[in-house]
Amino acid sequence: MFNILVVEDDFNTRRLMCAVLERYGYHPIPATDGVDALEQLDKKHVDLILLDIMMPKMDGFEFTHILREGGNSLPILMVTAKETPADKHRGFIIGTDDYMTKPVDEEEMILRIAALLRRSRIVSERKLTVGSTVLYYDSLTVRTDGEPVGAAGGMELPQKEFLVLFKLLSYPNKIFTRRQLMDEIWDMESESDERTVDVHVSRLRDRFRDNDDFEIITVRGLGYKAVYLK
Amino acid sequence: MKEQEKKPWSKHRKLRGRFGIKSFRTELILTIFFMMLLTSTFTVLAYIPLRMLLPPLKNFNGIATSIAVLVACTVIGTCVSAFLTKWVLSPLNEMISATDRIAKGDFKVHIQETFHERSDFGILQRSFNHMASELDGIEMFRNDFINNFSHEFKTPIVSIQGFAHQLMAGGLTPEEEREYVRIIAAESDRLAKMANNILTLSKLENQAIVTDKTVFYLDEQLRTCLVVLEKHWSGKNIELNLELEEVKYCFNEPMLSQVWMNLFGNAIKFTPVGGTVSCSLHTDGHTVTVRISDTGIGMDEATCRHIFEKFYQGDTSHAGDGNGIGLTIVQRVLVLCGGKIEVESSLGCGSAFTVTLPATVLHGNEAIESNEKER
Repeated sequence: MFNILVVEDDFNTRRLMCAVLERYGYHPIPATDGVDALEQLDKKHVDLILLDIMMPKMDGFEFTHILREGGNSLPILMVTAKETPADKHRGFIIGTDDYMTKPVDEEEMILRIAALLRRSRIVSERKLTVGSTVLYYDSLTVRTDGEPVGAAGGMELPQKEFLVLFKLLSYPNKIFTRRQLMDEIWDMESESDERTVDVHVSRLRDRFRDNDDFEIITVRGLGYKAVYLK
Repeated sequence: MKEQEKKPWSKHRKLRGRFGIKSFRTELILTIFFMMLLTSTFTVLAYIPLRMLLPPLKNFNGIATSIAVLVACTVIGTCVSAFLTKWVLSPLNEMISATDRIAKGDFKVHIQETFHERSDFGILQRSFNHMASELDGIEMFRNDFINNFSHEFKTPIVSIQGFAHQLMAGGLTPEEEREYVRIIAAESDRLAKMANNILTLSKLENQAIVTDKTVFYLDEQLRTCLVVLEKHWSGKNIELNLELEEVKYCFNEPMLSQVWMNLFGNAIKFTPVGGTVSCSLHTDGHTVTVRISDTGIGMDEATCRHIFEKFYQGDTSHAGDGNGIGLTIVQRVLVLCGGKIEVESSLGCGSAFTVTLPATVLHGNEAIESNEKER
């Protein structure tokens, strides 16, 4: 059960967000502004922060700044009426993990919260689990047999292949274009082109042909996506 | 000398009433000039010769005669200069008072084009009338827009308000309750989208130059838009047919992205389940062409002509969830980047939108627009 801190000064909006979160199985902790939010953080364990920007006493930007300066890397999702690109940039530069403008589509908000929580756990644990397949980031190893890392067996992958697989599986069902995969995994200066991505993906498909936890799907004209098979 | 100064002032009080205070200084200067000119002319041409020609006059008191002549010259001079000033300045005065009326909001003024059309002032007169009629046109357009806009805003609000009250009043069947709530939610969504769209359009219309230009890949941008819309096209089992050349472009990335989002969004919206949406991108060095087409319901010729207008929707019952502003925004962005858009469509077969953009020429990290280079 995840604890989500809801920082929003408008009474009805806060109430609405808490209701939506509860419906989807999260535990909301309300706060009325930045100052109140900091107090709540001291008292309770929080997994993610839903943050409004325009609030009295301490606004969202200031709150994020204080948090990040203090070394806190809790995932933050800014939800605000401020929607100019300048505001967005400022939000990201100050240290938010994601940014949505009001009015929000609640389904989208829940999906983003789930993604942020997932990534946060992956980042902190440095491993990704799909069914009985586990990817270990530090050792570039994939195990499908339920044994812990380090035990004999388990597949070590070449770095680029592992990174492509890790990226695709971190964001299941999200389509990545070849260029996106290249930009994130290869050097900017690299000589490889988009065909290289195709080669790596087909090698991955060969390796995990018998794996029934996930599948890599080609989306014609656009790119690739990974889907979990449950 | 005091008398000379008095006359112009009283004349100005009269003129001020007739012509308006704006031309005060000009009139004053002109009047004094004419007066002095005429007075001195008369003095030289009339008084001195008269004195010489009519010796008897010599006998008269010199000072009295001088004053008499001076007064006579002043009076004549004043009348003449009043006449001349009026003749010279009245067209200008007319224009000044017409301009005042425009400033007050009356755009229906029209001044007589009394000067020849090739004279400077004649050109000024004609330009003025042209400006007045343009302003009148804009005013009419603004009124139309305000009317359309209020209607577009009020319609969903009427639904939301009405159905909410119905729900509060109670006494409804569960199906009715669900239906009313569904309508309230849908109309609220529509209102939210429209507010965003109108804001975007306002910003674009008030913008003359484009800032925040970056270099990016156009083909990648098109793909990214489709990835964002994935839920919509995959939900309808729509097949995507893409032929994209790699094209580097320099422009405000999010602005251009809106163009594709709108066009793809429309293509997907108006194509039935199982249809196809195609997109091609290619460049010949001077021009970049993007063609987005679909196998959807298409439009007739009359609709095609109006689709870029604000609030226009082919389906007038608003059964769709659009606001009719998307294509207006598209067109506005394209104007800002020097591009244009054309549409071909036939009912029942589908539509194709062709966007042409001027290619950007890049040297290293700098982008020079090709038309600038040609200059």
